[in-house]
Amino acid sequence: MGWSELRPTRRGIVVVAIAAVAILLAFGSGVRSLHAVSVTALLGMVVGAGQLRLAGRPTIERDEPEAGFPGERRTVTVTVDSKVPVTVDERVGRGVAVVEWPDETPLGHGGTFSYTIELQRRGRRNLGPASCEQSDSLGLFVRRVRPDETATVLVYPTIHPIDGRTVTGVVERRLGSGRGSFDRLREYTGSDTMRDIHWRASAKRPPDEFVVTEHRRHVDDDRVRIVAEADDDSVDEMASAVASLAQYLEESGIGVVVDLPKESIRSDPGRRERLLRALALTDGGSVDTDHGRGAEITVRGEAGRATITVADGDVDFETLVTERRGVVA
Amino acid sequence: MNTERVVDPALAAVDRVVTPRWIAITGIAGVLWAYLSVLHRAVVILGDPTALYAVVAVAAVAGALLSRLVTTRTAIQIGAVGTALCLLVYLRTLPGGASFLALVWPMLGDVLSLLGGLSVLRIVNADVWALTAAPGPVFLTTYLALRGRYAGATAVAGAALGFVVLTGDLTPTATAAGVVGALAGVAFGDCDRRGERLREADGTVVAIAALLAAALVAGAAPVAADSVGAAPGGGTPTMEADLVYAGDTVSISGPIQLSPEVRYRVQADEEAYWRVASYDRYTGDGWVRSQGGSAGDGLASPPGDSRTLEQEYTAEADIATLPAAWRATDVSGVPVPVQVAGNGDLEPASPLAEGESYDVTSEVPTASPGQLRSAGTEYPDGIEERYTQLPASTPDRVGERTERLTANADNPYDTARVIEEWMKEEYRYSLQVERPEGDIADAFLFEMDAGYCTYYATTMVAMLRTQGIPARFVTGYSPGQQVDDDEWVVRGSNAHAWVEVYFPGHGWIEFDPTPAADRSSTEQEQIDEARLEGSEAVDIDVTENQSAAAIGPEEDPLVGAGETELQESEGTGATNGESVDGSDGISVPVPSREQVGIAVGVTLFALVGARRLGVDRRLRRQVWLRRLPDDDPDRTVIGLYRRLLVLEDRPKRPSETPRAYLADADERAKRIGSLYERAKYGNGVDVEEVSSATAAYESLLEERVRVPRLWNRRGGSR
Repeated sequence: MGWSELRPTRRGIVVVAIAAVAILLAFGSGVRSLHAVSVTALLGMVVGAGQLRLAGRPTIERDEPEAGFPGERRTVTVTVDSKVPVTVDERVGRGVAVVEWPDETPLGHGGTFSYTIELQRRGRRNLGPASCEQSDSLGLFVRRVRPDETATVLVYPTIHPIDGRTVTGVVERRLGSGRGSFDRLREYTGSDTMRDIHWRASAKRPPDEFVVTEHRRHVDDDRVRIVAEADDDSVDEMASAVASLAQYLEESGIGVVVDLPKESIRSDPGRRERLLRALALTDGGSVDTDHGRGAEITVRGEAGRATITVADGDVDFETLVTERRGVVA
Repeated sequence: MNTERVVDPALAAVDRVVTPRWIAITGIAGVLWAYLSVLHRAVVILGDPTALYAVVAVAAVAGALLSRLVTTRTAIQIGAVGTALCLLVYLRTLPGGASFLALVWPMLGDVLSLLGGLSVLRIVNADVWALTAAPGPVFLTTYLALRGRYAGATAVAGAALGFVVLTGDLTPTATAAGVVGALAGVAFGDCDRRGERLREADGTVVAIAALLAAALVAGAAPVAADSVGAAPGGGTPTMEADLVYAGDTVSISGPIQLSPEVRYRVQADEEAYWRVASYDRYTGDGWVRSQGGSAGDGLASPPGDSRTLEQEYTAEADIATLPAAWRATDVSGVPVPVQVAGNGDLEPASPLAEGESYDVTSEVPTASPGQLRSAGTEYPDGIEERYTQLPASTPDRVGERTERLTANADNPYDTARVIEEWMKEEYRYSLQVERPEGDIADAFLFEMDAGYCTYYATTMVAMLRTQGIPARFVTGYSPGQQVDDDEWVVRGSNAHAWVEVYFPGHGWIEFDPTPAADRSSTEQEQIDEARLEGSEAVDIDVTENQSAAAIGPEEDPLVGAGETELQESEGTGATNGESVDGSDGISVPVPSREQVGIAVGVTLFALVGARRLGVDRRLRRQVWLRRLPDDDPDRTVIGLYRRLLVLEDRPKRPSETPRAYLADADERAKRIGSLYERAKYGNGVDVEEVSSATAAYESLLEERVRVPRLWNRRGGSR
């Protein structure tokens, strides 16, 4: 950064013009005070330029918003630290869009403001880097800087409610296997979290005793295996299809194991963040055939569509969707 | 070390009251103040300032009220209408009647002259003008500033400031302060619009403080030169420069010197004071020639008896002013166009070169004392009002003193003679006097015991005016070195100031309260010195080796001798006791206002800079670390623990327990940590544990910190 980055503002130009006029007039008349005008005005320019030159770059901190689905909105809170007044112009990556921007973002000497984004496309989306305009405290010069700090927000794939006819067979087989997935209650021990405490049941117990619900551990057997593959141009559709299937199954109380090109994720009802996260980040590719055996459902994305394969045959995912949801940017 | 926030309640309180909004308004008010100070001066010189205070107050209150009630457009319309009305009021007071159109053009011409450097003090009805020029800017500025439109308010106030800068009436210091005030207004205005608090707006405070300090320091050099006088290249000004080359404004200096160069030769049948200009308006610290003072026909013959005096002037050096004996009735042979003003001043269009000459015919009044005594006091209106003007700031004691002094005189002529003689007796002639603060006449009467002609003449005119006698201050040259029966050589050292008093039926009559013998001997000294130095222009052929002592008149050259017997009402002995020796004693150096201003500015800047760098916080933290708590055992240990947190390298996260945080720390730190837990959450600590914690802390302090001990250990026992 150097002196050449500084540009005068409109106010700065006015001040210089006043100084110039004062100097010119001082030549003609003998008025001493005109020198005071020009000297002081020029000193003001020097002070302003010097302050801006010496001020460091602003630092920006953003609160990373929680992950969400396309169509949801998130508030991003930005804290800017700057020794001189700064105006922030935020840029967001593709896949999210700014929908609400505060009216006033001259921030003064640093400060905090918030804006709202809408999540649009699956993936890890960038917030920032911002473009800042710093000015000196007297408002005579400005310079533009681009602090590096960015934050990201994770956008999950869209989940569509689906008609479960095709996968009914799979479901029945699972549910029919008898073992219910009741949760059971047991006494609180030191290693339980407060979240698991069943309050209503605890109310019936003496004050010092608590009960927690224990989720039944799912055995792999109980989970439906889904294999998911996709060409590079159809990953979104594949992810969306997998997520929607997993959602449907989970609503029936069935967990899934998803084999993605790079990893394999287990997902249980109520604990689906890991799967969603993996689906949000997954790329195209194929799953090696060893793994692929024993899959009850295969999802394949190609040419912009996702195809579901179950024992009975192939079906286009689109045909399963009962209600199109979400926004595809 | 981590940074722990030590919140200062005093700063928080200041923060609530002093907001950027008020600093911005103060800055803009400062700009307006500088403008109003010029108007105030004009009003004080010509009359009573009360009216100005009232007008400003009303305009400010109106602006404040309307800032809540009307829109900006309406306010501007109101401002414009108000200003137009004020202008009409002013125009009505001008001589020339109420014909609006006839006055518009000259008024525009006046505005242009003002912008070209015509001092506000020279305006004929300067006090009325000031009253009409005040409300518009005050109203608009107040309205805009309170409405939060800081740029607009600054623009209006700044334009007003610029106006009085261009007329030459505002001092450089006040101008610089005004510019800083304007920048402060817009900068803090920005802070207010952004909703910042003063604490957050550190940058603006530092910037304005830096600018103020720089402006004051940069202004110090020219300001110092200001007080010495407008001498080229600095140094003591010359009498000639102060008086004869003064133009429209005579500023009175302190110590002064004489310039011994020959200016011109005069051929005339008898000697006279070679008059250059007269001044009608006394400002308290100098003289201004108002526009009205120059009006009228300059070549009229004086009423009453007079005799003709023909003079021929030959320039021996370039001269820019044309002297002529009072009262000139004809001027001829001038190589450049000449205007004769109503008060008798000759105004050449350009200077005369060496060798050029011109002729003047004058009618010198020859009224006898008896005639003058019986002249009466029926002064024409124009004369009386203009030539009895005194600033409202003139102390009453000047008039009282004059009353007592001239109690025995029952007519203006005797009054003038008493004063003239008294001053010659009473005061010593000296070129080395310190310029007094405040009113010159008052200071000369009550504080000084010596001075030069400017002081004598100023004081005599002021004293006469307190008695309602029209008098004016006149500048020119004393007769000079007589080299022949009818020829005099005039030098710069002959520059002189004296008095003219008006007598009905006789016109203006000269008086000179300066003791002539002293004056000429001083002049002679200067010339001899210059001759010794070999200075060239001191002599022309006819003057060499002759004493330059003017056979100057001991008394008024125009009034016959023998009339010097006049009783004063008080002996000189009584008056001596009153005068305070102000110029000879050792004076205690009092810092000038400018120096005080600079000191304030630099101190403010240093304070703000220190705060900005966190110096005060760091200092306080360092002191706090070393000052061991001296309290009950539990609180002591808690205090030690808190200090430990600051000493440790890694900041402790709020969720960390002390044990976890100190897991890798020194044994001593762990000890303090565990004692802390006991003190805060457990059963408490006893005295031994306290002293072990203290010892642990102290030894840690010694290791981690330079200069661990600020003062002797207290608290805890060995």
